[in-house]
Amino acid sequence: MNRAASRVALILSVAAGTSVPGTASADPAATAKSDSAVTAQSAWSLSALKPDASLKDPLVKRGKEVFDARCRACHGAYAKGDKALAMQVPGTFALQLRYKGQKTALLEERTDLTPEAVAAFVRHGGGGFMPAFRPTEVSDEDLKALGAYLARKR
Amino acid sequence: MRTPPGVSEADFAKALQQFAGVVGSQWVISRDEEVATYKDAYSPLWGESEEKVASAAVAPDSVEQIQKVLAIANRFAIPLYTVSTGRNLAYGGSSPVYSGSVVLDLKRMNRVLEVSEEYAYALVEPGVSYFDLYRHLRDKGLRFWIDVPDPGWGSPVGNSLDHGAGRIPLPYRDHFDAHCGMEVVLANGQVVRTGMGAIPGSKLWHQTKYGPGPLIDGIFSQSNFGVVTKMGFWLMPEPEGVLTGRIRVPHHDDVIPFIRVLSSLMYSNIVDCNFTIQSPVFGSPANAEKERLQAKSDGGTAQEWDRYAAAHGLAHFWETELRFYGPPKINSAKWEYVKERFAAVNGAQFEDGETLRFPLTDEQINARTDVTFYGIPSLSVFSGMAAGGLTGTGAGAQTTGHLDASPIVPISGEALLKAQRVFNKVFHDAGLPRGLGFAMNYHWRTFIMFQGLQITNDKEHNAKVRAAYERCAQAAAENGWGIYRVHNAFHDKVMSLLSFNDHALKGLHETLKDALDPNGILSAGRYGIWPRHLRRSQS
Repeated sequence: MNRAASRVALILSVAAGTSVPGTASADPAATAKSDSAVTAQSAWSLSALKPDASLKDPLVKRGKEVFDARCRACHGAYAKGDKALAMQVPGTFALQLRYKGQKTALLEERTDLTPEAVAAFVRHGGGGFMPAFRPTEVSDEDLKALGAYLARKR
Repeated sequence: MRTPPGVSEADFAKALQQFAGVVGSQWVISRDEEVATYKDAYSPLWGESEEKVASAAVAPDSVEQIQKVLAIANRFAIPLYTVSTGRNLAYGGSSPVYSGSVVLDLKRMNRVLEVSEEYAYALVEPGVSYFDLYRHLRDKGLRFWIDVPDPGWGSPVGNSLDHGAGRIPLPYRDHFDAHCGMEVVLANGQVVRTGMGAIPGSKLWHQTKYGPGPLIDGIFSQSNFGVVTKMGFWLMPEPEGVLTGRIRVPHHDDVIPFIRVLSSLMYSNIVDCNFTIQSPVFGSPANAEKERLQAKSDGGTAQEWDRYAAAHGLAHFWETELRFYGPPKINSAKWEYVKERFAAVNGAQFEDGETLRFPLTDEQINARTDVTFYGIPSLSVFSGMAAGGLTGTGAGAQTTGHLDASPIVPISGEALLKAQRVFNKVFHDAGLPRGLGFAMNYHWRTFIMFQGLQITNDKEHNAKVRAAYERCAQAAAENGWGIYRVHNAFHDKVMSLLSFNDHALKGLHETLKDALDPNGILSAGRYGIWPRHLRRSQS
């Protein structure tokens, strides 16, 4: 995969890190296990999100759980006003450097993301230090849910 | 689709089909786009024909599935390459050493199997990450700490098997040292439990590393002799508090008595924290005078450096920060005793730092930038790359990853000064900015001197980086030092430096490999250990 080409192909210039754990699975038993694992990724990574009606959609709700589990440690919010604290969430920090205040660095606050762009970044990486995520980390089903969450209508 | 070397397309297709019969078709990853997610995102070989790539991946969910996968691999001579969470970035990530291998991806095996409050241990599978284990303990209200490496998305099993380390006191900080008891599936499918775990119904598997007979766990680290499926880890009871203190000394040569006192305190278990020896002088911004001194054949004399420091208003040549973990009364007494001992070092200055009480509230955690010192996983280390890379911004190329060519050096001031000179020269000769370069006590009784190298999307730069990495390893060996952990593009090179008695250790590794994995299906080439049929062509 040519990284430069993959980045050019992306519609939106999201970037940077991401994260972690659990395993998603089509197997019902494994899904149950996965659900229990998908709680708050990191107690110290703050959510920028104010609950809204879109979270009643089970797919969107699942997408938020995936974000909590795998994205928030890099793309979460932080206690405001301090660069050192911004660096605790390197995805958010990298996007702050990239956007220079022109748009929000918090993916959960974006209103211009599409499921396709989210999927491209997850599977191909961000072009910088964000690696690609394997299907064992973010399954195809979870990727759909994550796309639905970040592209939800509010 | 790529096929593993030496395997026919027909046999590979049959093997993949049989893998799917074991794990389910969803968990045999063979579409090119998905196989590409197994590439090393920080590969120093990015875009080169030698880049390490997998042919496919198979992701079992149980020991029984692993046994069946190994049987199929033996039948069709499929080379497998085992990863746990696959996040060993800077060391190869989820990419195989031997291109064309099928990655045996254990990420789905992500269960925390047991936490013993009474005996303070956890038993985990390879796909459990540090975040998972931290969250498990927190969600259950268990007042234990784990030690976490700087990026928390790795696996306690995988990280310890690669000799990783973190930030809290020993023995927890040295992750392999903090393990106790493992379960391994051998290449023939046999399941082995080590130590007391070999006693059916053992009540001691995770309390003592020793069973009667050889302590055999070590052969499964940085190797390819089996598939580790469970490991026990000792947990640290949450301390009542942490007290922080800083020590500074004024002159270049003060580092010698400074480290002599510090190491003595460490050997006495008075100082058991992770500390970094930093130099505000060596770490100051580059300028012509500094570069001139570094480029001298002697690396600059002590007097020259002291004059440089004075001219630039740098009052302290060396400094370190210590943390004392435990009851506040004991922490204070230790810190006072440390100050008494450092009175022997002329000009030593002390600064009392903060005192923390545990547990921290969420608000306290959110306001901190040093959470890994308190057993809390994070990914903040990656912000260094966002901020312009670990070794400066280079020639305008985009940073896409990093490498650590990190030798272990003796814990003495003399060795530290020599290592500064040796590695300054390596980087100077390579025409690369020297990144990091500080000394830290990760493992017992040694320093690791991190040598950060920046991977970019410029192939010419990456070629320089690869040469500098190899030169770091070579220069370390020439001084009797070694690399603690190796990116998988350099396993052969680094292992070739272990040449005592005509490479006798390599011979022993190969004897073990032939006995334990005669078909050579497991992680060929890992840490320079090749199966017999690939030895001549690869190593």
